[in-house]
Amino acid sequence: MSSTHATSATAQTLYREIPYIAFGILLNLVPAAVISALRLPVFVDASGTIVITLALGVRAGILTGVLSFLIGGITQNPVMPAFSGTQFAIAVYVHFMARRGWFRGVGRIIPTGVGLGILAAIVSAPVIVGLFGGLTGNGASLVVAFLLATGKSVMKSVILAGLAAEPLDKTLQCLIAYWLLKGMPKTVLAGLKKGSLRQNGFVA
Amino acid sequence: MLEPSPAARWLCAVGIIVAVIFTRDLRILIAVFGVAAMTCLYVHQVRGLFIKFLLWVWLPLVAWGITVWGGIVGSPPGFPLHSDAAGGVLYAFRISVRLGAAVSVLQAFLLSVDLEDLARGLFSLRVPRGIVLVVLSVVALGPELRKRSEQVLTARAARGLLNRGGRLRAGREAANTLVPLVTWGFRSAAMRFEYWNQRGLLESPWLDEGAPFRMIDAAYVTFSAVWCVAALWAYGNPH
Amino acid sequence: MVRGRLVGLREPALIMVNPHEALLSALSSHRHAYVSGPNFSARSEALQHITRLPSASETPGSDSYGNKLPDSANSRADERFAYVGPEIYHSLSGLATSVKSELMLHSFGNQREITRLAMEADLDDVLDRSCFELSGGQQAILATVAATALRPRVLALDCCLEQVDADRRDSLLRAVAGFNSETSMVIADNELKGLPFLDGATELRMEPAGDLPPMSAERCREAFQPRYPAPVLRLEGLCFSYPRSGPVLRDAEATLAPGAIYWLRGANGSGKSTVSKLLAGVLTPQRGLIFADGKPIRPALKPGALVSYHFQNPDLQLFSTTAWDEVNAGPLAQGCSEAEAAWRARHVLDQVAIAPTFDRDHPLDLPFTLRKRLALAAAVACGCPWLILDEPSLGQDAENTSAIGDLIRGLAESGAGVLVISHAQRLMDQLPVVELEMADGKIIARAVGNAAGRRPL
Repeated sequence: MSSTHATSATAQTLYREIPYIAFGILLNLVPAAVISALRLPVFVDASGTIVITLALGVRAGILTGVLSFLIGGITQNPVMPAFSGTQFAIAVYVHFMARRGWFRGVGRIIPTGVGLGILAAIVSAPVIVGLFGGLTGNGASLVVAFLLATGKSVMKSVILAGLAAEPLDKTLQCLIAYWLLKGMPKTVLAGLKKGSLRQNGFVA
Repeated sequence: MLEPSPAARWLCAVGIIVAVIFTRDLRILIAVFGVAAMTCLYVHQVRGLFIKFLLWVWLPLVAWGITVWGGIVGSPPGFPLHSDAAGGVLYAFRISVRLGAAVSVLQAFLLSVDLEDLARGLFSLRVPRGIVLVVLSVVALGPELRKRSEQVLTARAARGLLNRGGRLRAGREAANTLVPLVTWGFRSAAMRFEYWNQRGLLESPWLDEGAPFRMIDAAYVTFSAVWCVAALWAYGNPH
Repeated sequence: MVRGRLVGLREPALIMVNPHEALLSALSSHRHAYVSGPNFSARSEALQHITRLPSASETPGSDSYGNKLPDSANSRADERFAYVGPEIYHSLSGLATSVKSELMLHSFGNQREITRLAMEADLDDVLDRSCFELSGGQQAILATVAATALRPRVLALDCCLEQVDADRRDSLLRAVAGFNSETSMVIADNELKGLPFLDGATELRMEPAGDLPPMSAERCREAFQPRYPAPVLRLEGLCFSYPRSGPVLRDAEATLAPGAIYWLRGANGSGKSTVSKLLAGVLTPQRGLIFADGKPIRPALKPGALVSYHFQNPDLQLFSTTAWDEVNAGPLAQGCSEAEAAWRARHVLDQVAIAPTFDRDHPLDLPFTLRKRLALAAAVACGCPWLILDEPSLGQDAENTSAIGDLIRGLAESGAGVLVISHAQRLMDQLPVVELEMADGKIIARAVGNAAGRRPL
């Protein structure tokens, strides 16, 4: 298919990814209704980033993650933009692991998810300390308060509190992305060559 | 007449938020928070989201901060435990006011115009076209995806397939429920690009239309830039 | 790959192997063309081909007949083409938040003229609304008007006008045709035959060259009985409002008897879906009761047990990874044995003419027409005593629509109760129905009987 308008082939390739990235962003921001109806006690604010990174590669994944938190800061929760860096790190890590086949099967996804959780906890910590003084007002703050009371520094307390929660959360999000891609028709995924779908058995 | 254009709003918001983050003086932070919060409460489009932020994010943060730094730890970071409760409260208060100021500036500047105009304002700032198109797409398709998420959930519930359970089970259920939604999203993405290409929509002059940059915009931007530079300078030269 | 074989009706000698060339040839001599044909006659592929859209073809860059897709060398740089397909939301740009912006995006500077066209198409009341919050019919009109605003060389309308009210279709097509004298229109639709506008168009007919048989009326009449006898349902004083909007139901009342077919009608937003969701147990009434054989019940406690709900859009209700599992899952979830579930699944798949060769296919890989039938089969296979069917014949041609009517009649005759929401006059005319109208939050029984002898109540 060739366009009748003056657009370079490179631009065509980039523009082709735009609707996917937009959808990935919405997947990070919107399905809250589904999640709360299922009483799922985790966040799924990175599922779109993981799915798009697996399907279209690291550039699309980074744009999905970073833009979702920048846009989410305007439309949903104004503190989200501060955590765009975490989304960047998620996309890079997922791409790195997926290229090496670490999303092939539940057995490999669990250690991948744990690693992602550790990374997310470490990358988010400076933001939580700088912007929130270590306390975000949610359940993790209880853990942070306890650790502060034992004399640990703010940064250490925040990282340890993050390590208690993030690995489970991120592992579940990796599993959700895996089950999603596994449940989709292969014909929908077959045309997506830039990601890591083949390496992880999502397409032949 | 006095309202900044979308492009100017972006620039001002970024400049002032950077300034707020690097400002140490509590009086300046309180003043900024006060003015921006008043603006948010005054503007109808912003009021609801701002109140939601105050009630669900800011007030819990203040409560936690004062309890922990003023009570449990009893001192600001870097000080021995229970050595300066007042200092701890002041630290918590400064963090909360800084966050409140940054958020209220962001919402005052960016939420008081149509999201679509805001996105198109990015073209004036020479933000890469692809990124602006992503933002426009997200803003346009948000309601559709929200509607479809609810429909998928309704359809699954109506067939008696909605099973709740432990975390893992619920995660599996979430994935199964989202499969039709994500399949639709991917198919739609593939088709949408072909339609844009077929119709030449990415060259439409409407995408590049935007409010011109006026003198008042230059004034706003200059003000925020000067403030930002001053804040950064003061941060680097604390005395 | 399905191929179509084109037979010109008005020019019987015009039998061609290559329907795409025939279409282009027809457009060079007549300004507009109407392509008729049953399901799976490759009409969509033909329309996509002549508007430069890639469709699922065997070889990238060429169509399923081996012809290379036309490229820019054969067209002017400023030429545009537009295709509006049956899935309307794909034909909207996804870049504009409001109807007005969508039209401005497509107008390429001709804003005054497109405003006039929007008024002729009755879009002026919804200019500030989100494109995706419009009803299906309004979206179809918007997509058509927006595509017209491009002043395309060829505008293809592929089964997109089914959701537009019948009395608006002709005026819409005339307004579109009158906008730009250089735009040729090609229309393919299951519901437009006999429209006055098409008198001036050349008609081309496509026939399927593959082996996807239509539904069999005889098979469709062989319904199995519901798993347990259908109770009489009585709705008493039902009230319901959605958050941030006014009341939808205000003391709605009705008595629904099994063995009957109820046709639930009403304007958009009148509460048809709300009543359906209350019966299916997806929503809980804020006031009022639902009775089954005189006993108050709460369908929300076990959704899907009493009422099987078939939604208008099949794509959002297909959850399994194979067509077989999709139909089999419902009876199993309702407590049937594996053998009985398998029997039900096979029976219903035969009724909707989905052959065993499709059993292992992913449901979302099937063409829209088959996805719709698969979703219908999944709803019927459950064996629930009551069924709610929302636009059950969407996307089906005349023969299959008639067979679906036989299926619905068979269900009612086997003892189930059926509630149908449909704009398909052709379907509803063949059924003996009780017409219920939603108005002012209430349910009013209007008429009873089939088209030949429907009498008011």
